[in-house]
Amino acid sequence: MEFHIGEHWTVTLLGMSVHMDTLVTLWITMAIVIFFALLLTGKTKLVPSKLQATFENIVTIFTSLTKEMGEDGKRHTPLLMSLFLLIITGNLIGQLPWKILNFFPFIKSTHGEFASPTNDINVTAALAIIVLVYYILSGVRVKGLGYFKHYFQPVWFMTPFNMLEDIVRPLTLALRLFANILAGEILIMVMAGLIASLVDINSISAFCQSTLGGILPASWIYNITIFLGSLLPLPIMFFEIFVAFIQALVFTLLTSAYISGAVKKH
Amino acid sequence: MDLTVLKFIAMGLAIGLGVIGPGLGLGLATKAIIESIARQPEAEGQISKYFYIGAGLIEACAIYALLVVILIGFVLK
Repeated sequence: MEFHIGEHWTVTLLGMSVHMDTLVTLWITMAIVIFFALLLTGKTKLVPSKLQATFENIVTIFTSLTKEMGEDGKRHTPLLMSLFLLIITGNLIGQLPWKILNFFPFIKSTHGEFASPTNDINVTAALAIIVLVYYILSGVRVKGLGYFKHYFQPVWFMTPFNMLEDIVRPLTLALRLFANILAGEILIMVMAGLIASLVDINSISAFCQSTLGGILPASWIYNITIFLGSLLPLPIMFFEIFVAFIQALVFTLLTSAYISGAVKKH
Repeated sequence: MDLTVLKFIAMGLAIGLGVIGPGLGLGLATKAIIESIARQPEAEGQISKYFYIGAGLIEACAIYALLVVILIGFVLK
């Protein structure tokens, strides 16, 4: 059984190497999010349809999340909501059967495969850096240059540790999301190939001759075993849908905690 | 000893030792949520919301160990 972990379909554009598979799936994710945004903001009704009611509920959840951020906390709702929708759509898109694309010889010849865009550290690191810049800037907007006073609290020699916090926060945000999604995909890959790597046709035919006495053809037993083995990743896939939601929620909640920590008055 | 053998031993030790802490933490979190639901069954929805977020955070610790295992096994030469 061979593993290809962290391999991407790399293309050189303008002297930079670009992960095309991540880019394409990220474009698809953005297209889905923008499509729903345009669909639902185009013609809003006073008596909402089912779809509109669902999305109004989502907006209400994120508005209530920003309540403890002061009187103009509503300003932060768009960032939190677009982060959540982008991450959850990106996580869930990896559960689609992208392997079907391997039937095309052009895609089969490239390294890497299509999966969640969030299984690439570059995407999650970019999101985490957006969060870092956003919470520092919103702190500066509320408190002015006085925001930077918190580096010297409670005493001046804590400054290195307070600065370390600004490095550790985006690092853990990026690593948590990336590693969770990648680990789920590796787990599904291992589960999918487990039975097929353990079973071979010779031992199955020997088993049929000796134990079953040749009443069933060995190829039947082999095919049934492979089919049942291919069902092994199914429970993991259901778990991954849950993980996709939880990780998007954790990312958004930590972002809101960082922002409210930056803008809160002492 | 062969380097490959050492690599396999390191991978096994890394994930084995790495999941001790998250396992304990998840057990404690589950204990706490069961106790608090048994005390106040009507608040189950609100309590379990925080439990899921906490479980996601705890699980990430075990995933860091898995990340190190992947780094040892497949990335670092």
